[in-house]
Amino acid sequence: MRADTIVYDIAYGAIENPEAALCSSDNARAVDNANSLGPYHASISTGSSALRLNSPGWMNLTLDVAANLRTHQALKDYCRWRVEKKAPLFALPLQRFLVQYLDFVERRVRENAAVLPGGRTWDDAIFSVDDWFFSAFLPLPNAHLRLSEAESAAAGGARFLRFDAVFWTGEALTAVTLDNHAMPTPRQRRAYAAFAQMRPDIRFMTVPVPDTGAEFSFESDRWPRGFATFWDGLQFPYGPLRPEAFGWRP
Amino acid sequence: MDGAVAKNIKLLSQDVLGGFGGIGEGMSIQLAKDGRRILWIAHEGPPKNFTGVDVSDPRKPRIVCQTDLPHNDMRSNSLDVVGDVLAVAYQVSRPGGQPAGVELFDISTPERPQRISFFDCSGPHSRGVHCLWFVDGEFIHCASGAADFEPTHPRDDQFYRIIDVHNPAKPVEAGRWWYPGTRKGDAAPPPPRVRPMPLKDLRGPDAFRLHNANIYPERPDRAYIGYIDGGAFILDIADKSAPKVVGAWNPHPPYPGFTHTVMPLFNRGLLVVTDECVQDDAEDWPKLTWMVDARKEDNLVPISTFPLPSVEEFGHKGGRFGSHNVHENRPGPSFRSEDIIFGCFFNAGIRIFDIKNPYRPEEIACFIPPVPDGSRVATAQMNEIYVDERGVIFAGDRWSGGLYTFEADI
Repeated sequence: MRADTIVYDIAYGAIENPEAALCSSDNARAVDNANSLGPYHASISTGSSALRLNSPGWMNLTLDVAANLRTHQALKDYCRWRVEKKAPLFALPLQRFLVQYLDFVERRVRENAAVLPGGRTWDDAIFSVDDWFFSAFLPLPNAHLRLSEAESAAAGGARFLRFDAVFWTGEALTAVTLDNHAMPTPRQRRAYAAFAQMRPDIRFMTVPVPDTGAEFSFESDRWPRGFATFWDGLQFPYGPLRPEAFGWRP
Repeated sequence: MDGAVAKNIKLLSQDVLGGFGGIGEGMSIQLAKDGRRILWIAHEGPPKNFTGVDVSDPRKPRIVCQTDLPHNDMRSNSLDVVGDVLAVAYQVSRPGGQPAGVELFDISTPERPQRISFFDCSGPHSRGVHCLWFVDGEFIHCASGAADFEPTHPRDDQFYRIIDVHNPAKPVEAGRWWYPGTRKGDAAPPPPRVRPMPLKDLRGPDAFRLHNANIYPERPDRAYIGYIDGGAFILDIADKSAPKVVGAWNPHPPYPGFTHTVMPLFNRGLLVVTDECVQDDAEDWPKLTWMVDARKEDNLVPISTFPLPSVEEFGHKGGRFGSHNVHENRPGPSFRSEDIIFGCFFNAGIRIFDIKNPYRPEEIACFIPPVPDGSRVATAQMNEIYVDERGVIFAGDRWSGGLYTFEADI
């Protein structure tokens, strides 16, 4: 690991205690040499690969469940369900955000099917064009980013700061806050301001929550590069059913 | 402040409002055109009607206006401000008294409120208006009697009324709803009393009438109402002339009644529901603040209550002990949070709760003032609370302590 490598330790999902979530790394899988990913925590290093829906570890997919996911649609539905379950029960805008993000991903694949490599169905080729769904960036919902001691001191003693979702695109960590008109407390306001000042490496985004019936916009330039063309730089799609997903090493 | 109990809250100032420090259930902030921030305060009872306080510097509040009621057989317990319009609720001591209704004032010059109109709610069985909600400049939602409403029980006289004030000079009724069985002639039988009380005093418990109605711009088609012993209701008011029940929850009995506030947290699918303590010396303990899962609004599920100090410690200190008003996240110059709840709990002071985990609300700050001079009871009785968008907390004592301003380290 290079000396200037930054490591982000993130507890995420429908968790109550980020400290405990970071400790529960039993089910974590190594995504590559630098990243590890579990159902409730991620450890991400700069310079490492993007986290995508097909990254092993977050879904906690078991063999018996996988054996019953016999169609592409079933696999996709299962993946969506697992992502959507990562939002806490009482975080309604975040639940909407995740549903609409996954809708957006499906729509992007559908709209670009003609130019994306892959067969038209799951069975007519080694891989289907629909598999590109799983190449989209993985949202880590209800993400609690662990602060260093210096950051914690500057943030009034907070050990974690919460964001509605973070994405690791391989280039930068994007931390998303959904703006639903709720106001932070004075202490929270100071903590986030101090942290933002200390972390130019993180892309902080505030996303307005649309009115009921309207949709989040994922198309704008505000999102990280490649957010809408998540297949850029990838030769082939692949789904989450790879040996690594089950802890196997080839 | 000597004798105060404080955790993560600092007192900035106290003002006894010229010796009329009994504060009711109305606080609302006007951002005056000259840049001043005026806090309008309703009084618990006569002789004062309302008081305007310049709180631009919360450390140095200054009375700019204080008005008198027409007589002492009435009170104006509730008010609200939108822009330069102030709405005040008038309730009389006995049915048939006057003035009973809602008065609108132009407060563009805060020192000189000018009457715009009066909406009369008096009647042979009406005590007028106890509480009102006015946040959109279009409709006043209130707990009111009416000339044509004869309740089946004398304490059930105030029901949910919607008053259209698009033209503030000519308010008109837009709709109403009452608990089935509380009006003579209803098909439904009168509801069984939760804790029957003698009728010598119409105030207080043993009532199926409205207390608070909360309606927010996020859901203008919903009214969240606390119907005292009738519990909490969510009404569909898309058609204001015909409100319809879409959800209801009532813990009374076995709990001792008096649902006061039903505050929705829209982004979380939750309700904060308070039961007001209305009797001294813990006679009606426990009066709780409930966390209710409202993700499915036709199936409301209580999931927790806010922690309170022990009844052994507070129950017999003097006065009331238990839940009452909360800061209601109203639109305007108001702090809005769905994670932090500010409440007043009579002799247990003001308390702030973190409800990020709604299954386990956690107290993070509190302040209990010492008993103020001239109080009728042996403790401060924190009765009302409002938090502005700067995070300044305004709270009032029910009897004599007046206005307290605070800053919380949260």
